[in-house]
Amino acid sequence: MSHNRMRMARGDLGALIAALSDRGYRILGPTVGDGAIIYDELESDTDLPVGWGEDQSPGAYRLVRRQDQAVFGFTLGPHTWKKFLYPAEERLFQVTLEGMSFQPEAPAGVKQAFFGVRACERQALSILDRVFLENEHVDSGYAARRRDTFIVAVNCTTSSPACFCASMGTGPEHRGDFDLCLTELLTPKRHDFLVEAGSAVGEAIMKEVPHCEADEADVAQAEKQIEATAKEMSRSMDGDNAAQLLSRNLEHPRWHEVADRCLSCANCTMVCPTCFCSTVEDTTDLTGDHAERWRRWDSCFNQDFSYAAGGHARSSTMSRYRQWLTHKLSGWHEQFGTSGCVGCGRCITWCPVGIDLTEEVAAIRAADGAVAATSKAEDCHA
Amino acid sequence: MLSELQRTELPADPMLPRPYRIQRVRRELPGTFTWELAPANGDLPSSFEPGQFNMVYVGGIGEIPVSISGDPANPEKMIHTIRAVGQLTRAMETFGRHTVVGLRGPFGTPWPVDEIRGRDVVLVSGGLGLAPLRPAFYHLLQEREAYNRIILLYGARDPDEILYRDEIKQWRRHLDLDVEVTVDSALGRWRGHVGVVPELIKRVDFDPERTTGLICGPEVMMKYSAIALINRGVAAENLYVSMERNMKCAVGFCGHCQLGPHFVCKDGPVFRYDHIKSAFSVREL
Amino acid sequence: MPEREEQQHLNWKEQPLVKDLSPEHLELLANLATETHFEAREMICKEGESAEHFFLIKAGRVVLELYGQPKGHMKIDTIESGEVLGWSWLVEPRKWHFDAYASLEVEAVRFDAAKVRALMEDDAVFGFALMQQFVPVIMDRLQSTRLRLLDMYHVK
Repeated sequence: MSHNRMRMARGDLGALIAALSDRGYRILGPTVGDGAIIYDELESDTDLPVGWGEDQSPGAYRLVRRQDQAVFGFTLGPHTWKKFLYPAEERLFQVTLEGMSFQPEAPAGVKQAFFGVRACERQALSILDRVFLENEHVDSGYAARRRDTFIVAVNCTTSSPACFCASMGTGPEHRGDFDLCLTELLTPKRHDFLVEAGSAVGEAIMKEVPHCEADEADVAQAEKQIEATAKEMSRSMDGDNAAQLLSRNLEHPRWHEVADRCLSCANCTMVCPTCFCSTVEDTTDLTGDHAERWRRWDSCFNQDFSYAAGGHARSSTMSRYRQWLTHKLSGWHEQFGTSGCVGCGRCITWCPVGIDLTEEVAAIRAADGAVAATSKAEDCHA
Repeated sequence: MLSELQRTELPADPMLPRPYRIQRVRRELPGTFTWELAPANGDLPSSFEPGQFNMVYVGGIGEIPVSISGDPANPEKMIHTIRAVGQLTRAMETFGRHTVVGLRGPFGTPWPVDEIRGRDVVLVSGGLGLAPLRPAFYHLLQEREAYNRIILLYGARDPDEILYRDEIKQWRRHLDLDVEVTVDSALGRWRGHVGVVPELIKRVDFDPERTTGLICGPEVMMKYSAIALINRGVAAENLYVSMERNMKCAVGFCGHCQLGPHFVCKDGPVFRYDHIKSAFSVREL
Repeated sequence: MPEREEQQHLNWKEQPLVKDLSPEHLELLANLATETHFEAREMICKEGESAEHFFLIKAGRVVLELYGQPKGHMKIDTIESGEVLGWSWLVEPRKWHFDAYASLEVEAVRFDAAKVRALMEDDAVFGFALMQQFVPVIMDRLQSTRLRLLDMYHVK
């Protein structure tokens, strides 16, 4: 394994970014903005959140200064990579209404490098690939952007209290499917990166970046740090069994209990790296002879989401929370052969009332088979 | 990474409509009309299977799924029957001949007309639900000898709301078909059945052991029709229903049409009843 | 939509109302049964009149009507072959609750309600057995009426 592993000094991280930039990649990665770590365009390594960490707990997120100068000493902010592959707003076509002449959008193939993709996030990209590429139909915009996306992965050497990737089998360590993979080796005595190339392009890029061959001690230190990160995760979920559990508990009283807390705000779906639902919006200009169709992110928590002739299929918060969680953990398996959850924990941190899906699954498991009285007050009002 | 995509051209964009011109408009009932459409740009029309649907786009206003109600053996006439119930469909109601609209499709699963050859077929429909079933019925008529009994049961609120009335009258003249219509109540000269369509299921003659039921209408009507067929001894796995949900894309991208683990757009709209049964019992699924 | 005329005539003893009765009980009923025939449009009973019979329909179609302005004559149900017409005779004040007439030519078996009731009173076992046959018919009709409350073909 270690033969293709390289060691790169912290000081050469800038050279890696420059090498990618020289090849025409737009570098996208974590940076501090809006009081959080967000994903945005990077110009150099100084844009990275060096020395920053976060305090995360259900319903709370705060940036904190670290004692050290770690480059990847944080975990995950509210942004996910999906926005660069599947934008929050995207024009699908324009049309001249006289004669209905449609002009498709020529999907622009952008060369982009995702810098600092965590293992859970890499899994999220694979899941989105299944939705948009490996389906009966291919989403042309997603395909055009995904095609030229270079992935610089990062193995996690720290976790947040929201993280539960270890129990989901999606992290904290990458298992391939990257162009380059970095592990930050940080002790009071050293600051390097263990680098692994996962593609020919990745190898070629590294030829332009100063590095040497990694030794066994480097590899051992990386493994030790990753293992410690996995061990320190206190949150967990039995993702495999959740699918069956939820599908046989659609009328469990817990759905009503969680609905009493849920604000139906849709934050969880916006921060989720795999939520892909969208709506379309049609516009015309003032002359009325030109129209456009736009696609925008949507959420199953919005009441209009399920509106069809005759009414809303899911008018109660209960039904919408149930839809989200059962889709994510259960329906996804049947649809795409994988869980829709990667254990990133963003939905826990960014829920304004701190609803924790691992806790909800555990509560349903604790009273497996319970059935709610059907005439709850909430349903009557809905 | 994604090397296959790097090598090949991107496939056609499933989100892009094609222009179709309205060739004929037929007023079926107050607020319900039928369009006959053909490609506006000289393209060949898409062939379709009975039970499939198109996304119909009206410039600048919106797009909705509409089942195809024409004859699959005659796809050059793309037929849609539409009821004006919302902003978009009310606008559509004002469109005359020659208007051009956008069509994407056909999408979705068909009625299993080939798998059920040799069987008794009971088609149960109510209200506008006859529209998505009509292509299947046309197919059964064309291949009449391939099936045993063919029974069409149709329910409407009252005699003035019977869809495709003239055609139903014609079908009733066939000696090798059993076509029965019921209404919830009637005034005047109505001499037919009065009662809900599940009641008709009790009144017609078929062999439950070798019967397949194709059911289409509002969900509540499909639910009680399925129950009535099961009570007659038809197995749940021999019943098929056509589901309706909000759709924005019709290709499994937008997530709107999910029903349990199913996408109505691509796993449906036609489902085997036993695969979708929870939709009829679990509230707000 | 006119009906085709080829209608099967049923053996009344095999119909749901009576098929589960014991042979002895069926025999008791048979003694009170009269084959009867109604031409299309022929009145069978009128709302408010004394309910002196009930019928098992063997062929044809009976339509039940309620009358009241402004709607006039409203067809609210049809009773068809194999089904039973009338349970008003079971319950005080034993008057018909609707008009009924043959919308298609009807073949039926008519039962003398007063004599059936007397039998039921004399022989509680027979009375209970017959009630057990009637209650499901009533329940079935009630459920079908409830389903009509759903206005099930209508989409808002």
